[in-house]
Amino acid sequence: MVPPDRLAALFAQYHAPLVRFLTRRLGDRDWAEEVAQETFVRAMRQETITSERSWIFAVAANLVRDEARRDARHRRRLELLAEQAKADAVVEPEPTSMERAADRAHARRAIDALAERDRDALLMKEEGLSYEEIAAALDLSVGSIGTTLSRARRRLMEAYEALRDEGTGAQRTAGMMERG
Amino acid sequence: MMDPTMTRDEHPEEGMIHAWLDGELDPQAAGAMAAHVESCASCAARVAEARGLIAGASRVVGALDDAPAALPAWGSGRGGAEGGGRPARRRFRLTPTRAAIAATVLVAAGVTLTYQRTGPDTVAGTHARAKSAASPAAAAAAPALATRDPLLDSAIKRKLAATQPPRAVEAAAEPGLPVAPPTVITPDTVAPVRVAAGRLAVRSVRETTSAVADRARTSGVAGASGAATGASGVASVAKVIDSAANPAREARAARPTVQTATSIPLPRECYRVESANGARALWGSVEAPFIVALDASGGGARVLTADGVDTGTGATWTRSGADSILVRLRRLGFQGTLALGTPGDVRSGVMRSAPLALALGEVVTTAAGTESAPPTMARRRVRARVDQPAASTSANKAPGSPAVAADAVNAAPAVPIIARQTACPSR
Repeated sequence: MVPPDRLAALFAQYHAPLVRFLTRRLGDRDWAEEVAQETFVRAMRQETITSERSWIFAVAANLVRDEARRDARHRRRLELLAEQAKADAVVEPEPTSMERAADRAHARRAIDALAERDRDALLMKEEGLSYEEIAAALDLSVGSIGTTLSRARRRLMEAYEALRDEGTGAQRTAGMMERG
Repeated sequence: MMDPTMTRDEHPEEGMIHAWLDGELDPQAAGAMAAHVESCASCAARVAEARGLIAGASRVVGALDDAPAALPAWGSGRGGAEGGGRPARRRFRLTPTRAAIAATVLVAAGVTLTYQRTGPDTVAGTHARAKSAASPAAAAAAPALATRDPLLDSAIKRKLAATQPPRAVEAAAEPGLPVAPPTVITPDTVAPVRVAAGRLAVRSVRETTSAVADRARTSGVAGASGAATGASGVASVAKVIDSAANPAREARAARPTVQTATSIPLPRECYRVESANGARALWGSVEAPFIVALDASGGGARVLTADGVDTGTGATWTRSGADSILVRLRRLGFQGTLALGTPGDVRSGVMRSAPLALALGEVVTTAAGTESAPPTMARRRVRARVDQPAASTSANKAPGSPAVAADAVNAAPAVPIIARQTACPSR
């Protein structure tokens, strides 16, 4: 089992980036906290952990995948959150807040549109994991990570731009309908 | 990692461009990539596009954190720069949620101390388990990875069973809290007597001191039968009743107190005072030897002749702890003290007394007359004035004040005395 002092060090070093990764991955901070907690509980049981950061992110990604497969409740919750975000964006009086809320909603939808592996690789890279660590966490070859990331980034931006254009068009249409 | 043999003429794949921009190429491959991009316009455009994608993707991912209130404002440092730049680490901030999770983690660490030790785990092991769990058969055999872990739950149950055995709840043999003794209310039969005695005592106080003293003398030594002889006797009876009904209060009352000479003497404690050196000694106007009769129940005292005749001189006495006794002379025209030392049949002590000479003084006041007219005696008043003793000529002391009297006594010569306890005279 991992010694308590080592576990405390792991927690201090990786908890924040792990929660951020999971929050981006899941779109739910509370859910992310739960998964991160479970990840560290599992880390405690290990005799030794090689490549700590990739191990932690790998366990977290696996937990997300397994849980997402089995628990549709969170998906419904995500949908509700997305709807709530839209509602908040509508009722928010400040234009800047509306823009931020729309941007966030578009980003969430664009991230969700990615393939799971691409999404995990991209989010792990954003958390500072190296190609080797990402490859270890996702069970991929190191040489494929560049391709995976380039594909994820391109698809993310394409989806995001499309959603933003769609939103702009919808706003334009709504404005024309209001004027008409 | 990447193809280090890439020549200047080969156009790199997009993945390699991203790897180069992410700083993941080894120096040799990175150098080859840089050389190619410098000479290849199309690749330079692809590199520019890749930079835009990296920056854009970072911004979109960062937009996920742009929660208005519920989510903390995560740090925005990210985006791999060319040359090995890594996303900046965000600060670890302690929040209540994180603190709670940390506490949970530590508690879980304690629980897992009892959990069976597992072998070394690797990232590959996690994948193997994930893959095995993905198959239906394995999923049926192995519990699903979920937030509720049955292994952890069973470990917690075993831990609780080991450390906290089931407790039988049964009634305590004795009450947990001390029970106060039952309150017994008995009718206060002496209360009416005490009230009556109090009224009489108050009435007696209203009378003059001399009248009470005379009445006390004429009524003799008061006992229980003296209650009918006067108000003071009734007061004494009330005191006896009160002491019988309330011994605690009586014990408190036994502390040193000063009472006036109006107290009716009860059984006395008498001392025969005589000069220790055989010289003539006076205490006030009474010449030694004399008897000091102390009221046993109060602070009053009388000075008797050696034959037991009342000299008409009163005194008060106080006891300092259980040892010395200080008797203060109370007689018009005199001030004095008599200190008795260590208790016993024979006490040694010191006696002082000094006369307070009364003189007539004039206070002359003049009326506010006109300037032309000489001041005339408007009023002449004569008042008693206490001559200030020589030892107390301090300017800030008013004549006749207690301080002056005390100084007069202290200035008087101290006469060593011997006081032998003796039987109190019958009258």
